[in-house]
Amino acid sequence: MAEEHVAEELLRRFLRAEVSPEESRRVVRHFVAGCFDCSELARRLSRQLGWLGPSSRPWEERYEEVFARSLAFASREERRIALEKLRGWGQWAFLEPMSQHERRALIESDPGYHTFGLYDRLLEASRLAARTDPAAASAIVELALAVAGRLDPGRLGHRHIADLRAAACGELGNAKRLASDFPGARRAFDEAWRILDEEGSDDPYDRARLLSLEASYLNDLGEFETAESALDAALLLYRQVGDLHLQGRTLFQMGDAIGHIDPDRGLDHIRRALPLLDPTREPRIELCARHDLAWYLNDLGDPDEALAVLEQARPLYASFPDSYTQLRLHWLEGRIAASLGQLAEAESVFLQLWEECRTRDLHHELVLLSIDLAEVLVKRGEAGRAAELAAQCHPILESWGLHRYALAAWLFFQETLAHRRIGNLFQRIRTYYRRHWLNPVEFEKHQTGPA
Amino acid sequence: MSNEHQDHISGDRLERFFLGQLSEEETQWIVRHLLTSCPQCLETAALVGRRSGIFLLDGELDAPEDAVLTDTAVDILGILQECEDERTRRARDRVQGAALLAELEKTPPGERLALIREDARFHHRGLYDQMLEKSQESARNEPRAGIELASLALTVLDLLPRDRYRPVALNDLRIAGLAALANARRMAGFFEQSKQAIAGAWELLEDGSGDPLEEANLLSIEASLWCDLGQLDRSAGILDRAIRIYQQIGDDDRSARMLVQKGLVVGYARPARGIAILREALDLLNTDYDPRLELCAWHNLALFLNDAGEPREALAVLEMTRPLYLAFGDRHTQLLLHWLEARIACSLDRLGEAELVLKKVTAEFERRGMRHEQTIAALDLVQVHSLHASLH
Repeated sequence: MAEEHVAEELLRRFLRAEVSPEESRRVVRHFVAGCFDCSELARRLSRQLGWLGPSSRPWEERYEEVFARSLAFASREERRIALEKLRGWGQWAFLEPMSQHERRALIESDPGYHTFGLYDRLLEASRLAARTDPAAASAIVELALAVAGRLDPGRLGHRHIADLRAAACGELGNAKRLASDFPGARRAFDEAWRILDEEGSDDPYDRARLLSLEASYLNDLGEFETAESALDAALLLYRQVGDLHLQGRTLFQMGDAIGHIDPDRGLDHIRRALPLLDPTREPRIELCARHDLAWYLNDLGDPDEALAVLEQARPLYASFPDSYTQLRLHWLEGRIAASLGQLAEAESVFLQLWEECRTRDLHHELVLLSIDLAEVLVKRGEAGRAAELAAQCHPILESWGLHRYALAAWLFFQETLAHRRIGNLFQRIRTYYRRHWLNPVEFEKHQTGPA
Repeated sequence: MSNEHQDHISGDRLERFFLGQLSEEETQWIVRHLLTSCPQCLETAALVGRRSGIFLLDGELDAPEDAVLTDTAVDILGILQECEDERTRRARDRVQGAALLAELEKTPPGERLALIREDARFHHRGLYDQMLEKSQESARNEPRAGIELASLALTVLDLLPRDRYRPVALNDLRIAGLAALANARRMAGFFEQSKQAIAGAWELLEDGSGDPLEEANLLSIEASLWCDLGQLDRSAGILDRAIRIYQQIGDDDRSARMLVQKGLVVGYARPARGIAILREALDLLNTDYDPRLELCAWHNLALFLNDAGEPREALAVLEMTRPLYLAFGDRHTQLLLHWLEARIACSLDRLGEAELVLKKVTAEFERRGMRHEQTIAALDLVQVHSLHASLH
């Protein structure tokens, strides 16, 4: 497996059973893969620690012992937290059917709820809800904040509790972003920064995580370059702590932010991200990075290479059978087919996806897909059908309450298709709806004309 | 991917490559590496190819050794280029297949068979591949749709132009199609019909190319069927045969997959044995290959540790694996996590929490129509209630 060797410092801690479960898992996996170099290092360190002497038992036995210990808790504290988390989900199951007011009252009055375990599980519950019900997710994070504010400073320390409060504020900002409450998101992020700056422990992980969440918010607002800069700052922090996977994750996010308007730069970020990503930590990020790689290669006029990347990623797509991932896969297939000149096939795929996006109320995706479909129709010499499609979309867009410039841009798109004055229209309108989906700015008509 | 991939390819690996015993990813990497005309690997490939008789041509025995090697290397490059072209063709076919499937799905189910028969565009290998893949996917949530897709795929196969495919290749494709059909029927609870499809596939396998991968795949599906029918020892025995095949061809990824499957079959009745098998599987797992399989192995390891009376170890494993559960993020995976947590809580005498979570999990299984899981979770709930009663 292509992975970094275990650092000596980490291995020392592992042998002394002082690692986190995640670190422990990484070390065990690395040894299981049979790394000769690290086995040698472990043998040397074991001698230094007095484990291995001339009459010591064989290394395999010691290894078995280490493996067995990896299936146990390294400390009482770790076990206590694990039990708290176990209990936390039961507490959430009890709280969930109540009104928000009742939940809050119970949390405030009962010290049994003032635990890190419940705080952690509430954040988990909010992340799960964020995908389907962002408003509910915001309410759950507010409970986590209430719990964080009542944690025992004697046990956890004021600064650590401040970090937890800031993290919850960051998650609240994210939930509000997903609920399209952008002013609310901004306020939550500002509060998170205030807590970190004034009360926090200056943990680089917390700052980098907040930068990453804030970048997603900037991305939604179409401020791709600012998002990229924020992520660059996060990348620096992850470099300082030497976390390769999170460096890879951040580079992926940078590529994802900028690549749709600048595929060259996006490709560069993604290519740097892929060797750093650890698929055992976040398999979905690995898939998303490969997906973007194929997408940008196709955008840059290399559909054969995009197809090769797609083929290689197919088993990973199969690991995520959810409908949104499959929709993205088929969209990529359609775009590659279009670039390869398989226009009838591309049309067929896009038509199916169009129906799916409409049924599932995927507004932004529907608009971008309609542009792709219109482009294929024009290439097939059916500009009339493309104009009809645009006309069919207009009342749908109107019903969503889009900003007036976005609607005006669509009318312009529709008219241009009808009058066959297309030029470089598709790329420009695509970029417009990516950048100004939420941000009301007029579409620059004066730049449009035959290329 | 191994370090070898970054440098040169060993003779042993090349031999397995020529015998078609490597995974698709490894094969693709080797093809691409050789296509860069790496002189060292081409020479090794030529030697291995000649040694195994793959590239020994008429009259070569009289030619000087160097000349033969050079010619063979050129031959290898030619063959590899053809392989690469074929791979690209297959990839393009799959994209076309996705489009044809999209078109087919617009047609009402009752009219799809007629459309396939009438319209030659649907007599397409890429469509066949996509239909089999989709049938597996559908079988999880809508078993009957999975059966319909696998059956239609077999019709597509019957209609593929005979002059474009070798009979042996068509035979292998049919085995894969019948295996998919058997699996979909099993998941829908049509066990006798599933057995029939498996029997049909075994008959074809005897007349086919003898591809060990097809045989092992079929064994895996048959093992799942016997497991569903409660014949756990029989199922484990069949999986042992599949494991032997993968071990013989040196495919660690698939060996690990079979070991995980065997661990599940064995572990429900004998948790300690299941733990040992799953640990063996985890040693072999290459997580680049299938992270969900890794999660499955860790999840069941925790489950069996709990069942074996080691809830603290189970909790430690769960804690270690928690980030992976969260990384997948889908509702089904979270449900399994919470179910496991409830079982561990029960073993740790935290009955109140176990009860609350089990009630929620059972209700969610019911809402999702997951009858089997709902029944087992309800039994867990009954157990918690009786423990509660005995305490009071």
